[in-house]
Amino acid sequence: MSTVSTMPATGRVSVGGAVFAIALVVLALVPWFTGSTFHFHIAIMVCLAAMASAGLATIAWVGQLSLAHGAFVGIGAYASVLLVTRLGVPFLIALPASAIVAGAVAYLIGKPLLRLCGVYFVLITFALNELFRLVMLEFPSVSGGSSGIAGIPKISLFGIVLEHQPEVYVFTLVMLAFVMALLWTIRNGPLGRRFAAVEENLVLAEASGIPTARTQNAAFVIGSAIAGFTGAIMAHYIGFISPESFAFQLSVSYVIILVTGGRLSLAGPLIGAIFLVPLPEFLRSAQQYQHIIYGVVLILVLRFLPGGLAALPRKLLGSERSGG
Amino acid sequence: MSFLIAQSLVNGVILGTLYLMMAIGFTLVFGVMRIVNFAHGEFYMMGAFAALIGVTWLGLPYALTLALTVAFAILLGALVERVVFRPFRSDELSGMIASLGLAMILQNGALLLFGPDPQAFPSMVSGVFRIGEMIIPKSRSLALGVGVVILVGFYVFLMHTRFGRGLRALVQDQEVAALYGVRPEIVYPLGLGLGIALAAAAGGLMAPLFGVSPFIGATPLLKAFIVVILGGLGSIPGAALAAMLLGLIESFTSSFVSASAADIVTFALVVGVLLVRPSGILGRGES
Amino acid sequence: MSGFLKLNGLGKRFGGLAALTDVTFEATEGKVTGLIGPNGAGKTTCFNLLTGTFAPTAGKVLFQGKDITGLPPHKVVEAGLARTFQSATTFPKASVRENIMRGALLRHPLGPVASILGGATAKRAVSRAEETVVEVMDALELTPYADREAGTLAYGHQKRLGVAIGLATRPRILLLDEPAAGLNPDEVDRFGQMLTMLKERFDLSMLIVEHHMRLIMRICDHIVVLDHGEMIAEGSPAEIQKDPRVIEAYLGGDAHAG
Repeated sequence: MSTVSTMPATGRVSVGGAVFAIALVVLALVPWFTGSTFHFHIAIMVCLAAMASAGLATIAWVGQLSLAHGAFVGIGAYASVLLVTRLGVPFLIALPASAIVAGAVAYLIGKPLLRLCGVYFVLITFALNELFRLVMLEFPSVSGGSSGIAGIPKISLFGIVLEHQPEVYVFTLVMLAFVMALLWTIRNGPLGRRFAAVEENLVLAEASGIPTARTQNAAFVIGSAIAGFTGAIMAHYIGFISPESFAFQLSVSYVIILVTGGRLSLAGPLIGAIFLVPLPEFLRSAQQYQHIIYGVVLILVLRFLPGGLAALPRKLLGSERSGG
Repeated sequence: MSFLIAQSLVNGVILGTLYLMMAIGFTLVFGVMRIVNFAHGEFYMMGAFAALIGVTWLGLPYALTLALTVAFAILLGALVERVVFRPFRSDELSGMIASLGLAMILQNGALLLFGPDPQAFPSMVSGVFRIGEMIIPKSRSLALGVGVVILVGFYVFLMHTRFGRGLRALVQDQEVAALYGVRPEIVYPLGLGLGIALAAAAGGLMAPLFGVSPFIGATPLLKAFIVVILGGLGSIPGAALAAMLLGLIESFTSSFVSASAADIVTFALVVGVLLVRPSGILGRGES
Repeated sequence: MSGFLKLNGLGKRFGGLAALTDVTFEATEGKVTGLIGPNGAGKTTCFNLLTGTFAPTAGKVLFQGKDITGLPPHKVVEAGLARTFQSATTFPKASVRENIMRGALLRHPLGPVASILGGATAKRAVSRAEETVVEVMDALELTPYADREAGTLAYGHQKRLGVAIGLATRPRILLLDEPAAGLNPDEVDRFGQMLTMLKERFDLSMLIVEHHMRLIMRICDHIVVLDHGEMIAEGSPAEIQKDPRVIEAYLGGDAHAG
């Protein structure tokens, strides 16, 4: 019950929580043990994927699946890059601004969009992601067109440029911790309670006086803002963006991470990213099988672990009644 | 000018036929299984490869190859239904996510087997028909003609056979279908098989025109999406109307404006229709 | 007195089909009003118009003098009309206590910052709502199951939980959609007694849509009869039982007793 219910965790579960937290800390330290720049890079990508997927999870907590998440990462990336390169805005201001821009776009389109639910919402977000890509390609003066924007300035904080991977990693880790703490707070607060109510039974939630449309829109705005926030960090770390960077495939990769990790838990996106992002590196000899493996993992998780990897310990311990 | 209009009209109809084959299969799968099948385009791709193998590797006649492709696709569909989709029959969202996984498996499987490069498909017929000033390549006429024959055949099957009626009943209402004596262990695998067979047939038909590679499934999938959104998920008349409309819009916009404008126009149309009428142009309103 | 809950010429068309035509009646404060009629008479449509599920195409709904026509369901609840559902409708993954809490928090609204970030204000709201939760749980005899997951309860308990969630929103009037559906005769009797008790204890009015005639005749003060989307009669249970139009509607034509 640790992550699904909004009730306080019981003693037994907090032991599990502590083990999980220690495991996370150890995992986060791995790049320093190996000292490999490449491992730092992987760790940064894990953090970014976890962050974006946590945004997607927020939307999933109200029962919606967005396939436009990659586009919101793109909106944040472009917002930050344009602010920094065109207007000379410092990165530390551009970063929250990019979250606000992405959130504002979500707010504007959320109201008509969220009247649709289930597969219809998925379809329209899919179409919107394509529309974003096509429109961006049409405006090369803004987006760099198909050749994109290269040479994006590195992340800089108070005049200090983060030149090397370890520094970027520390920054990304702190940002991830901030996002997760924010989501934890929201989840355990009144809004999180409403999210859970809407996800479990939309009609009853509305009949209990919960403004379900506004609640879903709140989740959509928060989740998309987090996507934009991630996009800004990603753009300045990688140094290159183009409309193709934020195509449908990116949205799908977040869906895979989320579903594999666990759709309805807070830890799900973290676990999914930790498991899936480094996977190709371990499978280097079999790199051509990478996407096939992703596909198989996705189907197997859906079939046998609908709660994702986050639900695995409970499933193994068999401590909970089946069903639900 | 009138020549350009006539030419655009012909191209639009050919495109519309391709889109309709994709969309009818897609909408049938949605209607029967309640699954938004993101892997639908990959079956188009597999159909194209099957045709390529039949014609160039095995040296079979084109017509026989197409027939074998369809038969192979039906079997494959039944297998996929059993192995992948069956557990998600009552869960639209999980079924859809599973189809994303399936699409990845199929596309990358093809990549592994055939490599990323486009493969040439030998032309089946050459030369052109001239009607006044209008020029229609025979290869396109062939694809159009066979496509129409397949669609008409499928329509007759759906409307006038017992099994077709059962399928339609299932699309309308799962409970009513039970009264028709529809047996789920047959109708689900065969429904999926027929749906993806249409996609595979489209792939086999279009391969001589558009070439073959592991990545060719994406565009037809996108078009199928657009058509079913415009026409309404699960509505066959809606799909027919929307497919022709889409083919014509694309052909005219790209002749008179530009190809990218055609894409943006259609996507804006999709978003607009979804917002105003989520159930499509001809679909019934959802409560 | 401008009336308690008044329906004034209420009508609804779906496309070209009239589901409900010109329904006018009043549910009096402190009384139990029954809404009955054969299958397809428009009871559910009427109920949905009252609770905001659909907007009517004609007429008005007035509650304590205030026009609530076409308000979304959550605003209708806020105005003081809570509803229950025909089937057992709960938040299946949450505990019984949490289910009721979700309704009770309606009366403890928070500003945007507090509702996103929680904090002391939010905690206070929860502890005040807790009083309502305890009282409602007690009234519906759900206290022993407080920490059970709602989805694991027996059907009858889930139905009671549905009423509890509605009650927790502190309504002036409770709208019950076929409360007896799916219950065995014993449970129906107990449910009837429970409703009468709730009415006293929470100073409630009620509007009940029901097929179960014995329950309706026993607990209603006033009954409205619909047939083919139109009102054909209203009056006390005794009057309704004798009304030839009602007998005709239930027994005549192709209608079957339900």
